[in-house]
Amino acid sequence: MDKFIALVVSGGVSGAIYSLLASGLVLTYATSGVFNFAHGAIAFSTAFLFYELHTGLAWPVWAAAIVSILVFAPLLGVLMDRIIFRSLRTADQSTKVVATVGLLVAIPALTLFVTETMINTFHWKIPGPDNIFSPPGLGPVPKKNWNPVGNVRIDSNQVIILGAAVVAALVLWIVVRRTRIGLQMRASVERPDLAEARGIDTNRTSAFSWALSFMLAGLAGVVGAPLFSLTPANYTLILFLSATAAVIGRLRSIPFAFVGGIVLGLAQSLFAGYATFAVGITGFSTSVPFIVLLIGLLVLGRERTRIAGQVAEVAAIPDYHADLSRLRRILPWASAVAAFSVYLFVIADEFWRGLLVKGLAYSLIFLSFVVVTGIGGMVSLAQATFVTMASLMTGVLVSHGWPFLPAAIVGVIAAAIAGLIVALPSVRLGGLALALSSLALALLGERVLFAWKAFANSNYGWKLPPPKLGPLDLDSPRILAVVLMIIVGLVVLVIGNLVRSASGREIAAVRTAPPAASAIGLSLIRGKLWIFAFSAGIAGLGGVMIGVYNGSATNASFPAGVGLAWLAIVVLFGIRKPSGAVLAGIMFSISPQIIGWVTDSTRIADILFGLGAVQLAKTPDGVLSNFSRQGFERRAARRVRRDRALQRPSTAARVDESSSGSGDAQPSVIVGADQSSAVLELHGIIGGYGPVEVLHGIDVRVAPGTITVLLGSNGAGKSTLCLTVAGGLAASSGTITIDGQDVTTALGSRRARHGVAYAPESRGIFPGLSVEENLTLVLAKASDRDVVYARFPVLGERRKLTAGSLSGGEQQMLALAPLVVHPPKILVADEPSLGLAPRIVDQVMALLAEMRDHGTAVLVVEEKATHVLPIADQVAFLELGRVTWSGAAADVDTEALAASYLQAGPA
Amino acid sequence: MIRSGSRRNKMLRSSAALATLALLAVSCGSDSDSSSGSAATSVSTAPAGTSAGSDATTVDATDASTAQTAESTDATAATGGTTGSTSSGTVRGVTDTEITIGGLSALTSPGGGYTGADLGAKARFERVNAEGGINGRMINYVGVKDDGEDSTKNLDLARELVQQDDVFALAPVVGQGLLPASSDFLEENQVPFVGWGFMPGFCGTSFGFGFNGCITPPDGNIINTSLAGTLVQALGLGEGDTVAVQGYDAEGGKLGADILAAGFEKAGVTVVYKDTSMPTTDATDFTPFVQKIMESADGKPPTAVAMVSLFNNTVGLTGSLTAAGYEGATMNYLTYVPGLLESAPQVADAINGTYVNTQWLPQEFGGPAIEQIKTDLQAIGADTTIGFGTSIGYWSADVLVQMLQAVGPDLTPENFDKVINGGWTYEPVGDPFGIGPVSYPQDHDQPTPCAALVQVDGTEYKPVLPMTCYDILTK
Repeated sequence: MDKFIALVVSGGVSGAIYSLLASGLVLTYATSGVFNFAHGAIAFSTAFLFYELHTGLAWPVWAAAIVSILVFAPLLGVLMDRIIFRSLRTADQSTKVVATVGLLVAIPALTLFVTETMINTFHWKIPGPDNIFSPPGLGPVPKKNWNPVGNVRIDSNQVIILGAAVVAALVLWIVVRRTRIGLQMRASVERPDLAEARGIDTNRTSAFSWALSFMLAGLAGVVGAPLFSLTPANYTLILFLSATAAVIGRLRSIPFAFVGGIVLGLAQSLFAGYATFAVGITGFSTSVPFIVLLIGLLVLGRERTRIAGQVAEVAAIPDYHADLSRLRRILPWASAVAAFSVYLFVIADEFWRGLLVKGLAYSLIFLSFVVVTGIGGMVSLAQATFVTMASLMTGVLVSHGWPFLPAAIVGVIAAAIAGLIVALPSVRLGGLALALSSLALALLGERVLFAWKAFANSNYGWKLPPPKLGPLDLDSPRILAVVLMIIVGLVVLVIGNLVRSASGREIAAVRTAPPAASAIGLSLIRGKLWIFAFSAGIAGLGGVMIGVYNGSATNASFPAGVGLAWLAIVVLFGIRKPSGAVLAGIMFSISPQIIGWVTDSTRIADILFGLGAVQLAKTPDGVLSNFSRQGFERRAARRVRRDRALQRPSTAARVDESSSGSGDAQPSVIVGADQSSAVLELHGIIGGYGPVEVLHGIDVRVAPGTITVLLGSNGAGKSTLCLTVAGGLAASSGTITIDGQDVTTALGSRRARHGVAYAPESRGIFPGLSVEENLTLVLAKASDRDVVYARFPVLGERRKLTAGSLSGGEQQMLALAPLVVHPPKILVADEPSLGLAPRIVDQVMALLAEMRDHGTAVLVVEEKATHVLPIADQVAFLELGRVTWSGAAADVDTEALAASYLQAGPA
Repeated sequence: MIRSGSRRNKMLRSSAALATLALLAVSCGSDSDSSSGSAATSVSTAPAGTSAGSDATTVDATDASTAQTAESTDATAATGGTTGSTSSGTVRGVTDTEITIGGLSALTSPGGGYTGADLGAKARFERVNAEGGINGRMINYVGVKDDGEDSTKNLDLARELVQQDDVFALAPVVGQGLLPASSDFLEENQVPFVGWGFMPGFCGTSFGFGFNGCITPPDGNIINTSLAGTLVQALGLGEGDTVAVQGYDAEGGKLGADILAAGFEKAGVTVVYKDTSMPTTDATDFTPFVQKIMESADGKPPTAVAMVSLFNNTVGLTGSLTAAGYEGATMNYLTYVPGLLESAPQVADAINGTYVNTQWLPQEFGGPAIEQIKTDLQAIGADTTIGFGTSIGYWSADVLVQMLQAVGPDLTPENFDKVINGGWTYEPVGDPFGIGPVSYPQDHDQPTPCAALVQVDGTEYKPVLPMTCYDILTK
């Protein structure tokens, strides 16, 4: 019993380092939606700075600690927020993963590069980055040991770490759950646009949360330094272990993440102390954390929030080549292939030929990413496992006398089966949880399955002598190259067909709008499993071909972590199209050589990788897509110029509505022209999204204490107008004034602070926050909230529930209720009656009328006239981005209104 | 609208970014057996029945090397006396006046690289040139290419060395990046490579030469008793003594534990504890292991504890044992790293008093071999601390130099194979000698069972036992 207690205490205490790191991970995930794979790297860099200051430059502990933890780390967080994380908020999962992986590599590299430069170029006498074992932390050196009771032993470092973890978890929990800034952070991550509209400066909250998180990582690095060797690889591994703790906290709850770390430490110690069965299975003991991670994900990882009314998760990538003829689309690629072939077969020496052959094999592996992530929308971090599986399986069979082709086929099938297994959690999990589960399975595969001697032949691996396929002897690099090019071409064709096939469309449907897809009976599960298996098979095929190139297959060629690197490379080039993957494969193979021409330093390459991540955050669809888009925009601009010169209506592709151009003679109707005292004025507003112009010149004047209604059918520009007034969209031309002050350039929360309240089409509530929290965002005083509860008892009853679980009508009430307590200067309401039962709609309209009576200037856009006309003062018709009629509500001609609706469509 | 400059920038950035991923591969994945000393934990088995050299401590090494030189001079005379003549001008890496040699190592690595390996080799080759070369040929040393312990990069660099730099031979070759893909390539191209032989390429091949043999033979039946022998000899262990053997959770750890246990058993010591469940990741809590070890000898602590484990875990376990009041002897194979004890006081404190078994002579023993290394290092303007990597570089080069001298003026891969693999022994240098005798072809399949012992004392390594050669047993 004594021993058991000792194990529990020591195990629990040792888990504190994971708790500390997990707190920071949960903080940023909960407040920005980004799971920071680089969290461990920040810990490393801060610890390294502390080491150089304290051990190298002999600064006292407190000074080094203040500079590294309280100055360096938070500043780094603010900087990273500005250049990367801010742009990542709306990016999809694979981009987020890759961007933080980029930082994972770049930040330690930069730290070490700076250090090495100081040593080599400036001759500072500070310790180099190699072989730093167990550097001092905040505690005494050497550490003090205590024996508080019985067999329990604790040392000073452990006490400090535990203390730091407890304090951090406590402080964080208070900040996130109990302070205003915490509430604002959580609102910002859920719906950043709405948060801005509510007056929250999301840039500020974002910077704050990242600064705090980096500071925590830095703290963990410094206090945890004595436990480990100070290498980036170590801290990456610790990150994976801390991820386990964070998952136990469901990536949302800081106290639970804290407990998760302790539990993990406990599990490891108790397992080491009592589990004797595992000794027979090599690698099992080491894998305990990954098994805990997997179980934690499966049990706790399921998304529970209601996603009613959700729009597409991921927009489809536009086809920037749609305006080109077939020949022009194929020509660049055909010429590239031709040039490549000429170089490969004729010009290259054997060294470069080998590199290109290797590049083609890698292209196959990278094509597998296009299938699972580009098309299937799932982030898989287990591709390296499939590669190893297929090559080892082929090797085992060949060594037992099988001919090459059947062995390779079995190898690829084995990889596909492995893919199926990795895909199984996708039945319950999605997004980040699935990515983490694939990583856990990959690590398990690496440590347990591929450590199995009979399968992997320890580190000797299996020989793969170059096979003869009929007349083709793959011993010759040229023949191998031909075979590879054919295989790559075939796979590209198959993938292209997949996208266009029924299955492909099914998968796209499931990916972009899951609720809709399941509503029409598409099976989400079958599609996901099949995609994973197919992708794994392709990766396996790539693995077999690399095995042929190498002449051998071993379990060490592709460690699990390399899958993250691969993902990053493919995403950088564009993961949605096969062309990106092929280019990525070639570049992956030859770029070490190219970099070698410029510099010998391995650090530079890593730092550049980080720059790539920054680049990615700005253009999430990848480098190739960026080029395509620029080409497309250039051509579109040329067309518009040409058409204008010829005085023709513009035929720019993808622009559905005719753009106005300055040549049109129709004068714009001013809404509310007869309003003498307008508080909100729009002059000549032209706006839209990118190349698509939606509003072609809108003039509106709204006086206080009036309701102005713009009626329009689909595509009229209603939401665009609301968004523009509310500050969520910048007008490309025209002015907006409030109380005479020009607020055209005040966007987001700055517009809100001029007194604009916004009730968007999709309900202006934060579904993940409780009813009470939603109200608190707008009504800081509890007494104000009580007024709301008194007025709307239903909200009072549900005040602790998440707003997402309310019905549509209740949500709309929740959105508008605070505005009744403190009527705003201006209210912009986008289709407030959308999706609501008539009785509720009447209640909503009554609220709007009440606000009007309190002096609010209300601007409402609606499609259905019936319910809103009774409360309207001014009415206007909105047709294809222009106002075609305006006048008092009493003057509305129902026939003219009907004509306006029915005329909807391109002229 | 796109200016070509910015497009080129983007491509360069992107392509540069890609390259680093290869490095990421290492940084994310290599955590098993990662630290530089991990190989020591692998089995270092001795050739069966090696009689020559087993008492190498008594051999007068100076005589041996003189004899060696005399032999090669005779060989030169036998082939016609013209030094420096080659059989043909088309041998890769060999001209009338030069032999091109390169190195392929993990000079840097996420887990700690073999710093100084390039300097050690360079120092040795420079001395050869200063003494007039080998059969009239100077050594053109193109330096060590750093693979960062990444296997993909290693293969690329191997191909570069052979296809672009046209090397004849490689030394040193060390690090986990040398997977079969690379060593097969070198073997096919008949490139002799000498290094610290813990990777598969040094076993069972004709051109892979470990300077202390093949350390991890494919079957686990070869027992290198030097792993246990040094401690047994230093402390006079025998019947009635007990030992706890701590391995780790991977194949290398299991094999290492088996061989350690067999070595102790042969000396009559009872193995009361053998565990291989210590994880390959850095552990934070050693209590479970300490508890078991402290009661392993019938409820009492054992006479000695021998550890085959990752660096951090070795240090941690040793420190935890001491903190728990263990008073017996602890031994490991990793923590002899010159400079470590001064730079890492926490580590020094944790391992104070522990014995460390090394595979080559630590500089603390002094003597002619050590002095020669320092002289050579000084001659190339390098620091004269003989670090871990520096030793590997030096001894690899030393063995290669003796080989080249033995092959004689007719320097071709075929001849190299014929002479060295036809029965040749590297004779140790100095007394105490630096590394033990290595014989080929036997040591393609087994390690040389020679080791030295030091003890950690404050910030110093105290010499305990110089390089001593023991037996190889077959199970």
